[in-house]
Amino acid sequence: MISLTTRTPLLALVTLAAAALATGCSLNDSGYKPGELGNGGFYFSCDDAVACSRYSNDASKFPEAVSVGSTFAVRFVPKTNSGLDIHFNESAVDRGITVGPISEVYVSRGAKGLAAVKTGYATLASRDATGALVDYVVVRIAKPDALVVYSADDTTTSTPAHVDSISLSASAGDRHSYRAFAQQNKSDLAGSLQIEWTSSDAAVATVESTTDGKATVVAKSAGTATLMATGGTFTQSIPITVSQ
Amino acid sequence: MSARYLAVVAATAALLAGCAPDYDHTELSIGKAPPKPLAGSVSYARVHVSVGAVVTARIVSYDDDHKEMAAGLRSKDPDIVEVTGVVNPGDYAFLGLRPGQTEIEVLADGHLVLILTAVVTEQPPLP
Repeated sequence: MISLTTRTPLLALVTLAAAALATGCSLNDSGYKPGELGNGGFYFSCDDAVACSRYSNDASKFPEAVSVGSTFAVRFVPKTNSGLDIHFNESAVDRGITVGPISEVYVSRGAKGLAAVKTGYATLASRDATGALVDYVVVRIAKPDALVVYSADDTTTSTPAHVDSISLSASAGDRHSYRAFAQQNKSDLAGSLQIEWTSSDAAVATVESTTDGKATVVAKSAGTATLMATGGTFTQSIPITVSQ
Repeated sequence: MSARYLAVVAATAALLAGCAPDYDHTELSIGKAPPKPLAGSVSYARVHVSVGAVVTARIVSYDDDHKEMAAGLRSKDPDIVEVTGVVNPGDYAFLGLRPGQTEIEVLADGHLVLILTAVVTEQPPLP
């Protein structure tokens, strides 16, 4: 039975600067999504910079939707009860607050954090040590209708060019790296999506490694092949041309 | 001890017992409903929420002295709908866990004062 008890209200949201210092990430004021109950804010993060490059680490914004089949993490920062109360080393976990799905139908807990398992709307709730609801956020889980492949060789830009075709030179021993993220209706879907990379003709080009979601394609001999990236129930094909 | 004295004591005790405040009524107002197209409503008769969604309500029972009574809510089938307290006093959250129907019991000072039908339905398919 749930008893009505008086609890100290959790007050003013810890500043982004405090969160940034606590996590080592740089955040901005738009980085969190206020909880539905107004008791704090939720931050979205992925643990790699691959399929969710736009949402890597603490995202610069809470995403509109997450790809089904992906993993991600959500962190809750509660309001405090003395106005702008900055606790540089105090996290929600320290206060006994945990975040998780209210049911495992749409999002489940996995070894890599939260896993989006079914399209629909998932509610992620933060609860205090007594199990009482502190706040919650609703996340839309969407099915991708496209995978966007982009170059992973240039790490200096946050908006790398999309790749529609690949040209390599066999004699030069070309090797280029690629990553992919999911989209639906041309809108990016967040989440770390497990991408399977394959080459249609290993005699022309091989996928040498796929560490951290990054695929390295290596030219072998002149000819044409297709690089296939499969993730989130969708496959994107990229033609490869290898010159001598 | 005289019979007259005992009668006075008994009458006084009866009067005091009769003056103890009784349950009067429960006030209920919906708090936060989930975004469309999810279902989420709370009334004196029924709680309706989609699977995977939350709807909150403020539920407070009063005695006939107009004082708040110690309240409590419990779900008869917490596998269908979970009822949990919210850190905001007086607020409760109803969490849709799987499709089905059950009842929510509202208690005041430990006594059952209200029963709400709770219905959990599947989410409409995403476009």
